[in-house]
Amino acid sequence: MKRRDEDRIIDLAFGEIPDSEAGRLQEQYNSNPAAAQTLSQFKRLKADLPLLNDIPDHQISTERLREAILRGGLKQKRNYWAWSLVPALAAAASLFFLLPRNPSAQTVSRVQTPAPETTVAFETLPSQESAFHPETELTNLNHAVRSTYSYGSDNNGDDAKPALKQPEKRKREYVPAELNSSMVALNSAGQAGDAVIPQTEAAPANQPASQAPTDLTAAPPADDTSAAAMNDPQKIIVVHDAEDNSTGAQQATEVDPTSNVVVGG
Amino acid sequence: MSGKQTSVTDNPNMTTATLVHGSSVALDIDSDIALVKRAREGDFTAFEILFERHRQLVYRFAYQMASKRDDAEDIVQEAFVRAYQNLGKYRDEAKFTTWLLRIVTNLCTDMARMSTRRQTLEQQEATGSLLWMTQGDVDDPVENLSQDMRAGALRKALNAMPAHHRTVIILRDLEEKEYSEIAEILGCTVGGAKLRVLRARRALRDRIAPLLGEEEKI
Repeated sequence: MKRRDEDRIIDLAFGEIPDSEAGRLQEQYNSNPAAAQTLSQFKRLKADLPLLNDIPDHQISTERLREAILRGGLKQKRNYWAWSLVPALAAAASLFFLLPRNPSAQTVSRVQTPAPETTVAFETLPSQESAFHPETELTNLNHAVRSTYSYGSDNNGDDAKPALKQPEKRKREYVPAELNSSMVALNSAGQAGDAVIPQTEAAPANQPASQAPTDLTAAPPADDTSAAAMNDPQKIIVVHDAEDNSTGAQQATEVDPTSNVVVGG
Repeated sequence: MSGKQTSVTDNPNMTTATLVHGSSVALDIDSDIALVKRAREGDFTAFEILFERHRQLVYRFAYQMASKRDDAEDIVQEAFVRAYQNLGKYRDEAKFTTWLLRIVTNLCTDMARMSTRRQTLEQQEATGSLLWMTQGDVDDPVENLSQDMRAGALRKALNAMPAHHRTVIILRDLEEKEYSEIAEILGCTVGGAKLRVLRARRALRDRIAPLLGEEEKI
């Protein structure tokens, strides 16, 4: 039997052929024994299929179903349109990093920048703190000279607090603000000696005091030559063990950085 | 209000329909679409009405696919959980039951894939061993026995068929769905659905004929 004929027989057995055509096909297939047998098989199948509808009742409790549904919850609708912005943002970011920058614009921005982050200046100290007290300050002199940072004091000048903290991993000892003035005295005398302090973090010479950040620094004293020397990035201060005869403090010498000296502790 | 109230459906569950200002568009507050809309907005009681209404349909289909009540109940639960989770994806142009049966079909197909041959044999053996306990519909005991044997053979043949064949047999010949709805559930054309049903029927006949022939010899 042809497959097409069998398809027609199946349709006929399951009642999916119009009645007008069904009668004619029925007569045609009855005359063919093989077709008649196939038709009877499918008719029997059609008649038996409703037997499968005898199914046991379910035992699903409404509470169980409700709990399961609520546990799953309602999914929030996703904003898929937001993903379309990702390529645009990526393209913008790549353009920002890849395109060459305008050098003139960079120069202008440099001029307008008030101070670089590494600038260090000295806060103006009260008059009583600028005086040198050798009996109390000599013990901390080495630490003060080695330190390249300055410490300011609060308004009443009673206790000095650090005015600037650099992001150094090294732990630094506390140094009172008066040591800035002791460096002034040391700057005027001394010979070749023990410690060498590079002035790498001093404020630039063209940096106006009024543009320095107010919370970190202040302008150096006008008569302080030591501070002026420290502002000069070419100078190195060498501290000696020998004491000065007049003051009793350690001697220090300002030397040129091109000298053949060992830099560091 | 100048509008009038009228019934737009034969479904007894749908009691109210309102035509507003002579508009031809009627909205039934108890219709599936209206309930889905309310459920989407967080009204869980609306979804409770939906699953009370369609639970039997889903269970019947799942039982025909799984042939085991526990599995069928698990499928029903999972189907409604997924339906509730994905209510946002349901489009109103399709019937809710069509969408629901599509979920059930996928679940049953997944379950059929995961089940092992051993589990299938166990189910068949359990079904056969309980045949003598079944109670027939007619008074004639011989006819009852014959009917039970035919039903058992049919169940056995149906369970042995691939899931895609079983699905269309259940949808068309047991649930008596229209070809257009079957096409929507399966995600194919109406012609494709007809072809699948035809092939499945032929496959079922090929599987059940030897079983009935053996039983007739007994």
